[in-house]
Amino acid sequence: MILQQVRRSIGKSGVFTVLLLVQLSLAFLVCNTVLHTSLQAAESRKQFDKNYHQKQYYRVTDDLMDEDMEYRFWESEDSLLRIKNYDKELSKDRHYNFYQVIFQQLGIEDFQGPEQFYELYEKEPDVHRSDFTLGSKKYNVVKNVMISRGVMKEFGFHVCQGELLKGKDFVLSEGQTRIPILLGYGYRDIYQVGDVLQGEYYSKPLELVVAGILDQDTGVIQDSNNDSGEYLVYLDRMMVTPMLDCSYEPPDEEDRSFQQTLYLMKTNGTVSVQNENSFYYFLNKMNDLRQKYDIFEFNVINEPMLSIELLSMNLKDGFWILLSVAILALLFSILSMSVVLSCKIVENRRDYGIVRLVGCSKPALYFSILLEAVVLAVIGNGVAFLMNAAIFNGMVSYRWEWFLLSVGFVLPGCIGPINELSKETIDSGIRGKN
Amino acid sequence: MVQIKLEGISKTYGKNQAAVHALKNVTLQIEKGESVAVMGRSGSGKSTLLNVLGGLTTIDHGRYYFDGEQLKTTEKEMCRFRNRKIGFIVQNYALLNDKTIYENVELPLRFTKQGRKRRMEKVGSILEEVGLLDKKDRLTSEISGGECQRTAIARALVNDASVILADEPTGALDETTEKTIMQLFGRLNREGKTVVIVTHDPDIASLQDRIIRIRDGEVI
Repeated sequence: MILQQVRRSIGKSGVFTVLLLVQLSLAFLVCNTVLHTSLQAAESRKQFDKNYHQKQYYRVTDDLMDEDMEYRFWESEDSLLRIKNYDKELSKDRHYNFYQVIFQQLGIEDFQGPEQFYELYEKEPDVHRSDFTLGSKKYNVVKNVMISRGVMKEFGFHVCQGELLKGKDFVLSEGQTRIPILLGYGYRDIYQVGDVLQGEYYSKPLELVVAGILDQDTGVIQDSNNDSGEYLVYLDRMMVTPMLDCSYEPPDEEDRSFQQTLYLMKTNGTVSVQNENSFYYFLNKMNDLRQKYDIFEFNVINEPMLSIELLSMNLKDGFWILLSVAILALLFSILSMSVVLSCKIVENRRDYGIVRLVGCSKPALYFSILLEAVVLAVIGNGVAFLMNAAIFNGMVSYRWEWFLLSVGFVLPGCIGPINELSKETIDSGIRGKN
Repeated sequence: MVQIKLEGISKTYGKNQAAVHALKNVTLQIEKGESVAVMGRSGSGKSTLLNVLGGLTTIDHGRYYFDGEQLKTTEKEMCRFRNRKIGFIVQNYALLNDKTIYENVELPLRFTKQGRKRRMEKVGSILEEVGLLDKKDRLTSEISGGECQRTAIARALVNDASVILADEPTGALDETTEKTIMQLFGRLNREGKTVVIVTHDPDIASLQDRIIRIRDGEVI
């Protein structure tokens, strides 16, 4: 009987009910996004605390290197061979993990993805379509991160489709025009494993074969470059390309320039060690190799990892605004629910009088009000779920935690209506008296 | 045998200067199977008396005995009393207009633990008694005033209430329908139901065993 009453009540004040549902859905959508972001950050923090707080990180950089020194180094005939050997020997050691994470835009011909995947989309939306032409081909510039072999292990990469990159995938042979890449989770409905994209990798045209799609919320730590700590950057909207080793002598100046750029990038990286002994081991080895191959000097900076930003770089700036909007939207929705339910009490006054006349109790009617609010919240969540799927395309999952919270949040909106109902008498209901 | 007994019942609406003393120290008895008319001017307290008898409102002072037992005023007991002991009929019928005759009559049974089959039997039987069985699937918004009142009477009887309380039951009906409805009340009374009718109409009042007159909240 109570369920019937709820169904009848929801059917009444149709326009107001629909407006309330729209408002609830929008508020729930924003709130879920905020909760998702917070929970995701908390989960990532937990994971990163577990994985990284037992380690020490040091950044190896040539930032302060003298440009003349670099110029003199590259003037030498065998400089490329020396830097290759330096990198090869430095990278392979079980006492530490020396890896590179370099955010480097990538040109893709006839890119199929949405705008959010373009480079600079968040920072400079007006110029994010920074397309360029190379030869006769037109490329779109998309977000990309170049990773060395050690990154996948260091940050615990997993794929939901296909497979991770293998050792041989990080080697570029002479004449090779095709390399495997990984795609962030957001790409899963855009490209499939095995698809071949025409790309531009450090001005070198290459075919990029999709080897795998990463799990949702796969992230890496990026140095902020301004001493404000590190960001945890999610790769859901990024392409992930291997930082290549070139196993061949450059056949021409253009290729030589390509390899120089590549190996110069590879000398800048991060080393993770379990203890100080391992760090000094790395430092000694690096200095020995530097002298052996006559490589310029590097700065080694301790990265304390104390200030890892909790939020995705993409959402960080807007988070507090989003949180404020979510709180206001939620409060406004609860207020609207209270007003609409109070209107329904007046509209249903006669029905309430009749059912009480034949034996229904007041607490049962209070329960019907609560149940109606819960049903509206459930419907609102359903609509918000569909909107979430349509808008975010799986980038933001609809949280069951929010579903439960939202039902709890709407209940205070019933206090006013229940108070109104408590003042109603059977007489006023069945005879229409005030 | 006394079925209803009121002792020193008082009921006041509002507070302080705005207080309206609807019933003042009312004491009366109604025998089982008796038919009683309650008469008085508008605002004299007739409807409040009926509300008290039907358990629709609480009392400020006094005692209410039903079948020899004092009525408890907890919400649970009052609901049970309204559902099982009393059939209440009002002038505007108090029916759910978007429901069928059947659904309206079934309503009191939905607050009991009776199964669907038992409910169907009871509603069918009572609708046959009031002559509405063939129209049971009609919406109450689509039937005549007389049929509405017969639906309200059927709803009042469906839980086998022993007392029928009717507030101006024929006030909105034409003369022919009024006669039919009063015949129905007469038949119910002869079958052993106690009938209390609030009315302005002396002709209707004269059909009852006894007339209780009320003025300014007092039985005279």
